[in-house]
Amino acid sequence: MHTRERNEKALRERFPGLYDLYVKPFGEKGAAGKDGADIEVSESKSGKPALKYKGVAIHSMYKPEEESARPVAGLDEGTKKVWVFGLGFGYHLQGFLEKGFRVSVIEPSPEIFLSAVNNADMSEIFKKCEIFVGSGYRQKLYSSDLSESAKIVHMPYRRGFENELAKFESAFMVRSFLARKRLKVLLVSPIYGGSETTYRYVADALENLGVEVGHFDATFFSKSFFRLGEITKNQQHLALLRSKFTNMLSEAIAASADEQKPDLLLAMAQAPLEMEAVTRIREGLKIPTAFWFVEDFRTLKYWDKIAGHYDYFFTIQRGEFFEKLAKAGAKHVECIPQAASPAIHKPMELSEDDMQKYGSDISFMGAGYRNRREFFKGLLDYDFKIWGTEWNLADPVGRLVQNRNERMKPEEYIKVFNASKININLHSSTQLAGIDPVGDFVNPRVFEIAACGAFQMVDQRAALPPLMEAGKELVTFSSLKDLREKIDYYLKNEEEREEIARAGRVRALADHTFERRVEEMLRMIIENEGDRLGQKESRYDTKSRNIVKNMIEEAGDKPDLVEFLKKFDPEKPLSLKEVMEKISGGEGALSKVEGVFQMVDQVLIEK
Amino acid sequence: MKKILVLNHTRMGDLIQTTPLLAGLKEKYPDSEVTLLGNVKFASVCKHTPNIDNLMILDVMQFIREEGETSILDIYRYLENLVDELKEKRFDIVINLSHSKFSAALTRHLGVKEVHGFNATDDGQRLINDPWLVYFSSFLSFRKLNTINLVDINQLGGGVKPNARSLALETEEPEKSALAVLERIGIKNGERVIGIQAGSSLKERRWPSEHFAAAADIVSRKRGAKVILFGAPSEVELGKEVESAMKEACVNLVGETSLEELIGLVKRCELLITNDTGTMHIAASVGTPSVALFLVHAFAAETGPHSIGNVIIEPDMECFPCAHNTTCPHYACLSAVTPEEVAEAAEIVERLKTDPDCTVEPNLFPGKRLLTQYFDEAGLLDLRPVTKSRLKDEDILARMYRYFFALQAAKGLNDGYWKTKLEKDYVEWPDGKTVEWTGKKIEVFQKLASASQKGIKMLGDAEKNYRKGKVEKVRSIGDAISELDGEIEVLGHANMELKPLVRLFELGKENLTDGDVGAMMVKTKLLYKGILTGTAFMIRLLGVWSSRSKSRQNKETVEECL
Repeated sequence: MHTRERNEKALRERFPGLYDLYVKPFGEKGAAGKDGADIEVSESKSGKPALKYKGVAIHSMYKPEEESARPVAGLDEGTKKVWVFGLGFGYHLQGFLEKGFRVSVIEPSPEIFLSAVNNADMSEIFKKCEIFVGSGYRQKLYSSDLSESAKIVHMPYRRGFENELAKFESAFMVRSFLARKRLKVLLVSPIYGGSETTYRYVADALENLGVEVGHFDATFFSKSFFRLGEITKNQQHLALLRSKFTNMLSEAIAASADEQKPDLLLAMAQAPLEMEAVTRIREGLKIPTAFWFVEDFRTLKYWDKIAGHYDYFFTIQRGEFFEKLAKAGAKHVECIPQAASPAIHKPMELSEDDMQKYGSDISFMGAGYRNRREFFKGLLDYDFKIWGTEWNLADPVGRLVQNRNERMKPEEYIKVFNASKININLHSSTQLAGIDPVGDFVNPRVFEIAACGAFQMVDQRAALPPLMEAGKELVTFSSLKDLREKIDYYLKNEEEREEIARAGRVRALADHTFERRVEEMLRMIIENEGDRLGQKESRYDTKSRNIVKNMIEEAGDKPDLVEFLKKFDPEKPLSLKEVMEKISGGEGALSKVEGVFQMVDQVLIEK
Repeated sequence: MKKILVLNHTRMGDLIQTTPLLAGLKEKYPDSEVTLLGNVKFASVCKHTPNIDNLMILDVMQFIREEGETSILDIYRYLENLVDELKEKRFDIVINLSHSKFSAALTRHLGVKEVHGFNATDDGQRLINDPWLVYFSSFLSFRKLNTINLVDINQLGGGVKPNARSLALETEEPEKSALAVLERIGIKNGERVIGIQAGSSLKERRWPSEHFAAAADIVSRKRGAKVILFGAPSEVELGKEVESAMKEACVNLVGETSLEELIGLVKRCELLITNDTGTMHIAASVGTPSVALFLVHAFAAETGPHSIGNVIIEPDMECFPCAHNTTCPHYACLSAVTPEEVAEAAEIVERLKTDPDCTVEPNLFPGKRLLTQYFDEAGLLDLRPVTKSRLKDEDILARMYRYFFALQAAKGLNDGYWKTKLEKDYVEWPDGKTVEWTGKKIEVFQKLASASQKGIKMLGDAEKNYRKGKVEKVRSIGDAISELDGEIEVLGHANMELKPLVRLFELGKENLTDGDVGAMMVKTKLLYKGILTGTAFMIRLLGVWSSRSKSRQNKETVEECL
């Protein structure tokens, strides 16, 4: 069998997803076995194939097979697994495999990966190693216990893949920290408003990263808060009532923090926290405090009074805002853009009915801000559907609103993204009539549409270029005229639309998930706080026998117990609180396992 | 042969207070095999507890490490083994006297038919099997009306007739081990020794350390006795305080004795001066009399030493005993008792040895009640005032209730059971007031009686409709019954004298677990009937008390006229 065929066979067996994504399309295009433009393969002195990428030698041109011995030396004792950045032709991996290490390999370049399949004998490596291409490693890394793992960078990848390497190292650093130490974050929501959704996504992301999340969900109090508005029309009275209400919640957050004993406080924009309480939490619990200001600093100006009171202040804008924040006394500032939550924002197969209902040539999903109401008048002659809230249903644009201003859940509105040929995204403005010429930050919808694998056209934003590539991952417009021309063009070119949408999704999943954002925040905090952060005993310490998967292993002789334990997150230590909740939530008579757990819980309480 | 498991593993005092039950079980089932599940902390006491055939020790502490380091699986396996081991023994009876949810879960798991005490339903809800143990959980809400000692409730709850059994521990081994200590501290054979236990599990329940010191000084001088200070390792500081406040020499053994040595040493003492403590129960079980101070929350009617010959001192204050979980702003009762009074009480202990019925003038102990115990004709421990005190309405009611409940425990009692004691031990109220008072009380009991009659009638209607399948009607009657029960609850809150009947009724309802509506209705009806029986009984006794007062009043009027 030919080398390539052997490789393809091994790949199909073990990693069919990689085969489908990175190898198969070339075969279908009749380009099987052909390398990309940046690839240069030659025969080394020893006869093995050697590789250059963009002119940089990925392997030795003399005896590439000798690379295998080098990286194994110098690993910590107790290392059982290595994460290698750079696959190339895999020569450098042999040493790890021979010494019995478990090996995960990350190949940042699809081109190099394809070339390896085409030219080198990879079948052993595909059989024995875990292979990731692009950013596909991240989910695996987040859920891995890194306490016995080492990170290896194949030297030639230090040049040419600086960005990808930095991302990998950051994820590895954060996960290793979490493997070593237990970290509990108290996450504080706003009473209501846009950052409420962000709060929920952040909570999920933190948990996915292996951080324990304690909540203060202030939305629970929103009804009471709004009820205050019905009590009086006197604005002075109302302001006083609201301030007392916020003050009470602020105290409640401080009390909750004292109860939950987090290692870090993370408050979302508009969280009802007064600075005195923030200081008390920081000093009382000796923990860092952070705030994510997911707002436009020009519209909402309260940042001025709070930025100096948090240890970490995260924004969605930079430039001029950073200077102002420095003046306001902010200590550590970082721009962390909005993101998507891939568990929610995902491609969908829609039914005929749903296609009928949610589909159209162009669509817009969002609130009826002034600029949108004005700007969309210019699109009235298209097959145009609008979804969202706060529209004037009586005016001509409002007549396009499909859901009569009723709130839609993300699970529903992603159907709009998935069903529309073109998703228009126009950043909001309360004052302007159309596109904001100096708008900088990027709204969540940019990432949400992209993560759905849907095609979008978005107004030009200063902060967009480094995040999404215009013309490749989405399409931008600068005026109504520009937009209309592009709509006409892309309605006619379905394949281009699909290509851009696909690339947009790859990019969003690689770079714009809430996991990435949270990881970025944690990286900054961990770098600054060092070992002061977090609690000594690690929940992820493999020595700790209370981690569910370890318990399952140890309880192998007790099938009923194993079955019961499988109901819990295998990566986390068993929480008796969760066990008791599960037991009391169950129906019928308690099983023996449940009964014994009840006793375990009690003796630990009574001790 | 009956196989019996007794669970009582929370505190040392509790364990000692189980000894009469264990003795009673052996009398009731002579060829039984009794297993006690004890706590590792008191394992050495368990060893000297008579009437146990198998001792099993619960030792979860061996697995406890620093936070997060304790292996859940180790504890799981340990408890599973324990459960399996206990299950294998196929017990016929489980007596669970521990209040803990743990013991309730364990009891349920053993699946034994005859359970006395705390248990759980199959879906994990707690319930109490046995009316006496329901009583046990209720009396804290009517403390001043309960006169049945915990030890007797334990026996009754375990299905054993109280039969004037004192606490008892085996002392042979402990006495031997105490010999070495006595030699070390220089106490010779024949020397007089008194013991002091100044601690108590609750700090604020302690009589002040300088008072203990002063009382010990007086008694020690008077008797020419040596003084030993006892206490737990956590009470070392307190021991030093007493030691340094004493003028006479003493041997401070606080925190230095094993439980075994403690038992032997307490037996060696001729008297123990103590708060309500485990050491006090040890003294009661080895025949050493105590002067026991019951202050703040501690109430001798409940946890007084279950033996005779002790003198108990209680403050005679309206607020006494404090409800549990109360933090008092002044703790005036702690300083209400003086060292001189305690020393005087020690003299009464001596007098009781030859004259068990002796009394003293109340003015010797102003603001205090001195009590001593005896076993009554029902075999229950009872308290009798050593100081003749003025009769309070709660005393009358408590005596009546005692009679009511004693009738459930023993046969052959008559009205003399409560009446003669009131006449003998107390200085009475002016009779006129008694007549008026009993009238009012009768009215209150009648209110409760008519409420429960209403309940019985409603249940009758509900049953009829239920048989006819009229679900809606049954439901609406059910709502009316809930409302009625709310009224009964309010009556109980508003009238202290009704509380025992109301509280037992409420707990009875909480313990109804059968799902079948018909059966529930029958059982609920029985609960209402229970109230009716109680109210009828109390109304009759109040009537007796009233007419007796009337006749005395008439007699006195005649005498006055003459």
